[in-house]
Amino acid sequence: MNARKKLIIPFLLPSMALVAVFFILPALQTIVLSLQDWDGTFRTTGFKGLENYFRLFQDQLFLDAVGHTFAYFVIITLLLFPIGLFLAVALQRIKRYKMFIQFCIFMPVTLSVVVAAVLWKWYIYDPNMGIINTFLRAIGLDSLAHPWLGDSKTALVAVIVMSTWHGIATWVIMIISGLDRIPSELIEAARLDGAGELTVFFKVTLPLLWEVLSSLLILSFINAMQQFPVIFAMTQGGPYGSTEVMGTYLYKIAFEGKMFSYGSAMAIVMAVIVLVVSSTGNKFIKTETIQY
Amino acid sequence: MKKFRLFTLLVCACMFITACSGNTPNNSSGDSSQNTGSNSENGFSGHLEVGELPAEGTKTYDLFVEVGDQMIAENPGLEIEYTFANTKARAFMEQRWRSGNPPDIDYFVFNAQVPSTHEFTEQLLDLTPYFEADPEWGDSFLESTKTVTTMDGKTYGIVTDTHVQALYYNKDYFDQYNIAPPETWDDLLAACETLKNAGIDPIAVTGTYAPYMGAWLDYLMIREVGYETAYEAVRTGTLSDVPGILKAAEKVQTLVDNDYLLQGFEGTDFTAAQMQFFQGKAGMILMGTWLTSEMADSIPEDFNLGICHFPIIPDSSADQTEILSHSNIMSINKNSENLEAAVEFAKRMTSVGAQTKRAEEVGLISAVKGVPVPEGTFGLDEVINNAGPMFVRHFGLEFEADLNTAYYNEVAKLFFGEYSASDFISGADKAMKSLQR
Repeated sequence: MNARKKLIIPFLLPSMALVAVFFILPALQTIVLSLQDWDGTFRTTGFKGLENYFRLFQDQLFLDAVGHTFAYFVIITLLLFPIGLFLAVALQRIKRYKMFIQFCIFMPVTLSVVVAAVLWKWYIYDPNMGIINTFLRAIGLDSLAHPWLGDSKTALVAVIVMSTWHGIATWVIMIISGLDRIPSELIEAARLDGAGELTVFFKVTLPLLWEVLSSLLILSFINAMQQFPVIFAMTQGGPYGSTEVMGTYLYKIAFEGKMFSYGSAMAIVMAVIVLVVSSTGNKFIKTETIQY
Repeated sequence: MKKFRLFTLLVCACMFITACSGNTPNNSSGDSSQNTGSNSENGFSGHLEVGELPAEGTKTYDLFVEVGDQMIAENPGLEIEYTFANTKARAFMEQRWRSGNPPDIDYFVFNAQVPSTHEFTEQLLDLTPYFEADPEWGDSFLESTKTVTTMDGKTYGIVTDTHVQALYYNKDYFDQYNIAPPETWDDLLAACETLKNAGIDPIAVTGTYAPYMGAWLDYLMIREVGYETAYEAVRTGTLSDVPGILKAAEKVQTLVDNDYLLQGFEGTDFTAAQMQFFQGKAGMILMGTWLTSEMADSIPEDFNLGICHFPIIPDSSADQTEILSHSNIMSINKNSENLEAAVEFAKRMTSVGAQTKRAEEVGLISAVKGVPVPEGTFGLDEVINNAGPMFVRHFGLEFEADLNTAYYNEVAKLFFGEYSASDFISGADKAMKSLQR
């Protein structure tokens, strides 16, 4: 090892120690726990092997939660992607009321996600007191009034709409930063060549934004896998499990049911899903990066 | 010089050890093992750690501490430490019990009808000999509470306050439309019809917290087949083996089919459902007696609240006086270093004087005989005084997350009209059987 490499080691040690203590060690402990039957204290009741993992794949509630988690990811991405892109491009171009529109877009993300979720649950979605149904009734569309969070067909979408409202600002900021990085000469050159606005957007802007968008896609997936606070505050996984995602089910099992080892097995499976899907997805998405 | 240094070091070390091992009354380390409490001729002394439920700063907490302060005033050598033992602190407290370092007094570590608490019984004091030695104390509790405090002939706790689940109604509506508090199921259906015809939603219920909604079915099941049969059938997934349970589910289906439930209840949070009731949108609500204190700030001043027992089913052979409840049960650590002081604290906590003060000043319902029922709710005294055996609500499932989720998901499908009564029976059996351990 040369002197230069030796010099790096002492600089790396503090951060490596922190990673070891706060990430690697807990992760290893979680793996060990998932193979035991831990009752939440300093004692365990023996080695159980892969029993907790086999049980997971027979647990219909868990399998449903996995399905709902993927549905959450797909729907929220389909909403965030076009809306975020539209708002970012619009914000770049508009001149009037720009500050006000920016405020409207960025304000939700400054609210605590739980506060926002409770506000939506009470004042927007409540079947009797909520704005949506009150408005529908006021304009004579009583038949469209609906228990949005109380119907298994609409509950997940209703939760996702709220999450989109709350999270859209992050997408807009990231996309605007991506748009700002695109050299204006490329856009101007395309226009000089006779390309219309739509052609410029789809043939020049979008390909050059792809790197940012693909990162957002991966982040959106990880966020969906970790989803917990919005659903817990709005539906607690109901009605009858139709909004139960892996995060909420894991919480119920581990902390309400005190089945820590079973919960640990669930956490390991979640981590594996995130790792496999995001790394595979990353390979597919980031096929070619355009240098400019 | 070397010897002098060594001597000085030894002296310092001895002084340090002596200082650290001092056990003064002011020592508030929280480790009861360091304290050797006693009940000498001078009274109680040492350290007593009491797990308590109300949050510090509330009136209920002050009344709790008042009991301890009185003991300290009479026993200057006694020191009492209060540890919050409710909600988020429960998991921590349970870990302390499991790891052999529990407080002297705690809550929620025993309920005869909650199997998950039975792991602690070996560490809990059986109060039977204390009740025998002081029959006045032993006999002071309502008979109906014994079902939750006694198991295998041993009493592992005392109820310091209790809540029963009963049917609240809007007394003004009932008076206005000439409806008597429903005594039977048919009375209830008639009341629902009258209210519905008057443009009032008959029953306020939440759809977002299934166990509260499920209380209707739980009650109907115990009215049809009795608590113990229903408890066994639910927990083992054998509902289809008990014909009366299908009848109970059919009665719920009647409520759903006839639109007797609050409009949009499926998406209504339980606090919102309670508000709808107090705002006059609905005529009745099945809820625990915590309702009035929980909603104190939202109840209109001119609201006349009535309460009655859940209606009976006259042609059923089951005991129609059984009542669903949620009781706060205080238990004592049998290995406590200050056992006698702990028992004395429990005794004083459940004295008629202390309980009356709690009932009058914070509206808590006592399980001690002779304590007045809090005022303000028409019929509450009748409900409490005529309560039959009390049984833990939700069949104790709220302490077992997987069973709770699985069972009440199926119950929700029945209420939401996704299931017929017979679908519910087979769905619940399947869900609960899949989770048998």
